[in-house]
Amino acid sequence: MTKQLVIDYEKCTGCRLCEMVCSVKHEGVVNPARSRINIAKWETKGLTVPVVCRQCEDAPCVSACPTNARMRDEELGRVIVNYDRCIGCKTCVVACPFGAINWDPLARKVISCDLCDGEPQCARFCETGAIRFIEVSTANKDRQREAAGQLLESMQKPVQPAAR
Amino acid sequence: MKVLILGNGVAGNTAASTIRRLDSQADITIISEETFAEYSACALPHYISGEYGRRKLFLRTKKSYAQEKIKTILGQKVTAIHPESKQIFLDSKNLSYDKLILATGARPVVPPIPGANLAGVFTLKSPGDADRIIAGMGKAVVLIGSGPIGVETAIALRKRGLDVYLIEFMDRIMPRIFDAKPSSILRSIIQEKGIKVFTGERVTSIIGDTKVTGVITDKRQIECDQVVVGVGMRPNVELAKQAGITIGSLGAIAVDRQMKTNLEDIYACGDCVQTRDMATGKETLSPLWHNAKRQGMIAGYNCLGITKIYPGAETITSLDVYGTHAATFGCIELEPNRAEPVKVVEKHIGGNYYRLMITNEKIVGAQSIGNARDMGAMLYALIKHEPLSRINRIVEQRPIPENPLYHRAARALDLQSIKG
Ligand code: SF4
Ligand code: SF4
Repeated sequence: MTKQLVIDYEKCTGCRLCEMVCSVKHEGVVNPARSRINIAKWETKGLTVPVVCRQCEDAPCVSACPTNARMRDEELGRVIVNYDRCIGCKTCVVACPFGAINWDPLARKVISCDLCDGEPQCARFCETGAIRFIEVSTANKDRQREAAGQLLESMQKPVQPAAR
Repeated sequence: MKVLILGNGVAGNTAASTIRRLDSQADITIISEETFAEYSACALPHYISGEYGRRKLFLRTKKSYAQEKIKTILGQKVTAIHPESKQIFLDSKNLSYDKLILATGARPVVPPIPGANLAGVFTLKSPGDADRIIAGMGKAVVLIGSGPIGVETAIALRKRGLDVYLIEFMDRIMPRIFDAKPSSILRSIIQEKGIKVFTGERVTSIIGDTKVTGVITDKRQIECDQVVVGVGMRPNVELAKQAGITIGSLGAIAVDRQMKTNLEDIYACGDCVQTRDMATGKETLSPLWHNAKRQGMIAGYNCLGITKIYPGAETITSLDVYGTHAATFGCIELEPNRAEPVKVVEKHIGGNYYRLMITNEKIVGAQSIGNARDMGAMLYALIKHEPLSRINRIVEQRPIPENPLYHRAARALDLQSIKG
């Protein structure tokens, strides 16, 4: 069974350690702008929400990519980019409903969570348990399935003819 | 089962792959007049600029067709379809089918300007066109029409060091997908890089003896060695029409939500069809990659008797303008013949610009310059036809719902402060 990153927003304190370890792991520098996970801060609400790729099965970013650069890697249950093909059009950035794709301003490429090839560092370092990398329990799976189902359903909902 | 697919673009290829994935036995043949393997038209400007090798344009190779057991007949013209006998006719032979998928695409429109047939006047659709544009590069180039492809091609040729003139008949660049403000932001970026932009100007003729030497507009004369025309696409429907397939009000093949035409066992997908726009619910031509891809998939499923419904076209455009990300989806404020009024919400966040169009409490379009990471949530709200009040309710909910979608949107745009 594949493991998934499971986020518990209520536990996130907004310390941004995950951003740091992510950029260190992938780019060798501490630079949140080059992280694949991002803390979305919403000050008026007092919320901090870790935003990271959900590795969607029927991924909107994959269907939007005009060069087939973005694709699913079924082995690790993740979505990856073939940078040889990518033209940097950022259509995937727009298509992701979660805003989970980042643009690395230095490397000039789209980056998103690759699950660290199976050992996500963010989950390893998150002290509060807001990010965990776990076998998805049945309950969780059901919840995810439900959410995915809703997403799919809404995307497949036929368009209502314009009201006259 | 014998499936014939007319057209070797993204729609036809996606249909072929979908069918192959679901049925290892199906006999699938792609037929195309073009000799190219499947390519990404979106990558052409990057090839013209020299940033991208030619080989990279192609999404398939001869080998990959063979691996998927997809037969190809390339470089041959289909002359007729006989729905009664379930056959198609090529120049030299005829083939029978159980299911036929029309993915014949669209071709660039060349307006009837005097001189449009001179050597050195190009359109941009295929790798062959790009090769010709590269081979024809001189000192100066005029681009007629400033759609996203026109703008990307202008940038590409400017990167090659040419003098580039972009001429647009409307009052702003990319007039169909951006409103005045974002359009002018993008205009100043490309002007700064030395591209000369003339809007509100009509090209009256292209001049030269046998080869282009210049362009005359209603305001000026420009010397150039090359003209690239990008003023729109026309669906290829002639074959379908002859066969008795219904053509829709916009001049493209009419299909239902399963991508079926009016004739039994004939499906159509991609740039040759008209579908319904998700944002407006109106019939639309949306020659965009992701729509063609999805339509091809839907056609593939339904061919095999698995019912899948096409939810409608999404007009998403995203382009890189000298490192600045410009994105737009849904309808714009300045849409011609708009039936209902829109409320516009503009936001400047950091160096980024967001513009949101709202009709009847619902998001019908958005444009962004700079960071676009909140666009996806908006797009999702549009697809779901979610009223703002409901988004607000979701956002207020405690504990926080697992899906942080609308929080992103709300955070960026202060949706609560928007009174629909
Ligand atoms: S980037 Fe976004 S759309 Fe793509 S798989 Fe990840 S969460 Fe899904
Ligand atoms: S930026 Fe790259 S991966 Fe994303 S849609 Fe464009 S080509 Fe595909």
